[in-house]
Amino acid sequence: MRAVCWHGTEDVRVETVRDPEIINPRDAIVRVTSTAICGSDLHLYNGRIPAMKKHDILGHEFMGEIVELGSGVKNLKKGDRVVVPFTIACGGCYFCSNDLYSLCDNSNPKAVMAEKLWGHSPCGIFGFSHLLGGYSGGQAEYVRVPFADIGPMKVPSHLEDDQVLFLTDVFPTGYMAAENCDIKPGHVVAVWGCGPVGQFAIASAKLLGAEKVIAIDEVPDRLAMARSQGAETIDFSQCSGTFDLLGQIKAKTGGRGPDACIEAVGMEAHGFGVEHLYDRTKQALQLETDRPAALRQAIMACRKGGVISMPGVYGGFADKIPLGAMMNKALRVRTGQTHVQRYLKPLLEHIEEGRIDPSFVISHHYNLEDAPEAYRMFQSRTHACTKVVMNPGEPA
Amino acid sequence: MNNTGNHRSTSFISSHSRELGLLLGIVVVTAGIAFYLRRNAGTFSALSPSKDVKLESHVTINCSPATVYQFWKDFKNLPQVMSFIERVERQEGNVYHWVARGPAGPGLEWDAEVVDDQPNKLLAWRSLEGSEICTWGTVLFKGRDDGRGTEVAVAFNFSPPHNLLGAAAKFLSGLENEALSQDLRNLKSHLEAGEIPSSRRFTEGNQSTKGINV
Repeated sequence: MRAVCWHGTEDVRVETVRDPEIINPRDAIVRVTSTAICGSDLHLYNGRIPAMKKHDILGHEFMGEIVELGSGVKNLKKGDRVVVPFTIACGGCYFCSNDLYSLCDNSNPKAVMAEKLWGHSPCGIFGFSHLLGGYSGGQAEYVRVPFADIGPMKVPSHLEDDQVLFLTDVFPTGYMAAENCDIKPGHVVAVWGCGPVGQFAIASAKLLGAEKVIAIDEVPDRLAMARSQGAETIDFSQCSGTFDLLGQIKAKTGGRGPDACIEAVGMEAHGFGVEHLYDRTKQALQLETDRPAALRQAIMACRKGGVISMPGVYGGFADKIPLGAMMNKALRVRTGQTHVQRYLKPLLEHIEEGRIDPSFVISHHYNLEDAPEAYRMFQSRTHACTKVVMNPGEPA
Repeated sequence: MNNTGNHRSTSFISSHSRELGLLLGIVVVTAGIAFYLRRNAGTFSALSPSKDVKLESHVTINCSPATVYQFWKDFKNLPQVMSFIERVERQEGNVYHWVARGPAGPGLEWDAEVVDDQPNKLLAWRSLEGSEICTWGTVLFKGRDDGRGTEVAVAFNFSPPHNLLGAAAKFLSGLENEALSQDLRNLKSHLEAGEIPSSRRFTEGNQSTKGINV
């Protein structure tokens, strides 16, 4: 089969590799019909996530058709069209039993590595380094899906791939970020980062009743997309510095600050001036793995007693987090990989009822063969690129 | 000349004090990281076979104490989850024959007797006198009433004779606490998920995609 393989920093290649096989009774093999590049794939592309190996197959947003099933999967059959959560979960541990699927105890076969870095391991994730299991990803013609009786959900045939594909990650991720804000009538939510997760956070904050959403980014077409969803926007490239940005946010919130701040940027944020230089330098010297500029701004901007919701991905250690502001303002921090399985059905219902059509974030369709070009374009944010969907097996 | 030299060096230090401070900071941080890595590396280094090997690990399993106890009480089950046990066979009465799995392959065997059996609470075993190696172990099962299953505490002890050679010595030098921790993870996955997770791609052969590019 053909698959998108990681080779190093800014080096992905489409290669012919052996087809995956059923290993465990609860496995399925899925023939991929659509797969997307996630913003977090760019962290891998930029070499920011440790424990990647050459030839690792990328991709954790994918859907397709069940072509093979292990003996232990009773709720699916060959030919079923399914979306597959990026979080692999067993369904039987304490965390799965409590709807906290991304904390599954049993799906990371390399948990020992994660335990050394983080104390405990989250669930395994497709195509996202050996730290999170070393599973082959979905930017390929076929994928082995473990615990297939818990993750994959059948989708109705009248909905197209583009409408349901993002149930695998970015829609639930944006939704959980908004849900974590405990939005009440009158609340203002600020969203840092207007990539796909930010866009779904904006849409979800609206669905959950936020009075106002303020979206912060520097890419014109992403800000325009946020505005088209009803958000007020701030172009931080037009701000003179952090205090200017904070002042503008205060001006939009009656001086109080947002009731909740969603940080949908993660470990490769672009800060201002000296601060940005400091983080870039420390990251280059490996004295800091993560650049938390957006998180710092969110903590400073948030109203007293507010919520910092972090769907943005971090890997290791970050410096100069304003803990004084966090403590003295009594902020609550909510974060985590998304408990995708928890949101599949309710969010599918939103799509079926026509309250949201997730395909609005798609800017490009590519053939899987053109993955290297798609990564380059998504990385550079040129060509108004917000989201790339790739289709294996179709002529370029 | 001397005065000028001193003056110059003083001004050099003051004008470069920030850089020196930064350099010192980096040295301190690097030394700290090196110290941390050394300390932790020690934890995982091979244990000397001439000393007692004591393994201990804890895990919470989302099952009743009875489920975990039943699995363990049938010692023949243990090789399904334990990396350093090749097989266990039941002998007469409470005696089981254990065969080790290690870097040198099977080669160390012993008979052990169950010396304490408190249903759903505790199991303890000890090698029979005259065995090639003196070994004993315990597993404690503590049910929680808050829906979090059973806390399992396992201890394995190996006390080798001083003249231990060959396979047995290799087996013991390869035993690390981390192996027991991984085995308890396997036990937990086996009981909670019905299988042990794997990111293998193929049932056999090289798991890498390397070498089959066209």
